[in-house]
Amino acid sequence: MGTLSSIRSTPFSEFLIFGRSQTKIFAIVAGETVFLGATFFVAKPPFLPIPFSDSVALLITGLLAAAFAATLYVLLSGLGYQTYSVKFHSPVHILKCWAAYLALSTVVIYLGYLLLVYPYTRSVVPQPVDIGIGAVFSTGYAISIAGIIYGESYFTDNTNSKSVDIDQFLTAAKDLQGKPEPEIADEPDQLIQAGDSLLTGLQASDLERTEDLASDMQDWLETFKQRELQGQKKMVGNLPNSNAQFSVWEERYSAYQNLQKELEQMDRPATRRVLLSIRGK
Amino acid sequence: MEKYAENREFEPPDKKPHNEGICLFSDSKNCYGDDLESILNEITPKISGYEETIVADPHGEGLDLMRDDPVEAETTILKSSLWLIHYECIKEDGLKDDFRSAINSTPPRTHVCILIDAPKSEHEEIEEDLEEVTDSQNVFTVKSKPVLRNSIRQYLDMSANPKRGKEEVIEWNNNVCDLIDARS
Repeated sequence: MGTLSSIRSTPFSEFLIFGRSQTKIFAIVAGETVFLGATFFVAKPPFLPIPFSDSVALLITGLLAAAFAATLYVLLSGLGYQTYSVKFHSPVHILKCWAAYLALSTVVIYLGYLLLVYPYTRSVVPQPVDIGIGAVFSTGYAISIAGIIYGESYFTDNTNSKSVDIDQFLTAAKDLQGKPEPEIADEPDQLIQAGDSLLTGLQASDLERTEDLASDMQDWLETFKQRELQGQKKMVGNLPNSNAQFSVWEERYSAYQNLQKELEQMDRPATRRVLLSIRGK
Repeated sequence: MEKYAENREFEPPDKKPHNEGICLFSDSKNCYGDDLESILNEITPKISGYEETIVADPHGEGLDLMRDDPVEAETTILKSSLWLIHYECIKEDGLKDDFRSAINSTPPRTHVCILIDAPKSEHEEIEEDLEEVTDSQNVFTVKSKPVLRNSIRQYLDMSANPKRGKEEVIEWNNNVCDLIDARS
């Protein structure tokens, strides 16, 4: 019930565009659809010759569709990993996106069936083999759209630096917390540099929760920048055990812990979390 | 802690504000029945240029550092220019000589307040007992919350605030850096 209501309260497009420009995604979907349609239109006759029996064809198309569906999930997980939204790193949310992609592609392929095959078969319900072929086309079509978005983002966006920034941010914080003051050199600068870069990414994203996370990051980072080393160390958890420990440091450290938790989640793609849960970790 | 350039400006966005450490030496963060943080929260909005030229943070581990290693503690506590010492810490922990030594190590403009919250009838006796520690020019005794509030406010607003005179703040900061460097 909770999952269903959350799906209903989220715009369908959010499952498809992963925070990218709606115009860009529309252009990719339209381009792919036209390409797919044109491919069928030039084919004569508008059905594929299948050199197998129906049951073998169903088995092959079923296996192929399953493999494509799994590939689609991996691809969408990669798309989610490129975002600055924790939600898009969740296996469940990626599953919803996966279902949305398959729903869209199934509708398009079925429309293609009605347009190109129905005039010959005169049946709105496709035959089992047509369903198998349609499943392969649907998953293939969904993969092609997700693949273009992934590739386009990979080569044009700065999202590739996200993982490096998270690693630099968390490593600098860990060193800052653990090292004695005389051994600390450029850790605060490293942390600030990575934090600023992450903040830019978060502020540029219009996905759910990224605005809140950007605001939390900005507040914490501003305070951190204003502090001397003694305070900076406390802000990442070097809190001396004292009866007179002031809650202001505990609050700042708690804010850091929340950021750390979200960044760690954001550093793991959904597929990795699925694999870790399978391994029981 | 880094040395400030002689011509340093503290205004944002280029430079960060002066960090004013307030070091509390006590077994509790309460001062006259109130949390020191809440006293600071009352004061700081009234300080000119707060969060632009100056920020103040309380550090509560002063007494623990002194108990652990009074000499080593100085490298940390010297970085704070306002010390608030509960009188019992000096009297009852046998740290009188260590506190005296630490206070004598402070550069000019470090402000040391000894907080006395005992009944008024005991004030004279306590002050006599602390005479060796309070004979330094930068040590003041505080006997009530309003006096403490005014002392902190006046110190943060006038003495430690680069907006009122950055040369003194730069000099104090660089003196502390030299002192710490000399010990390492």
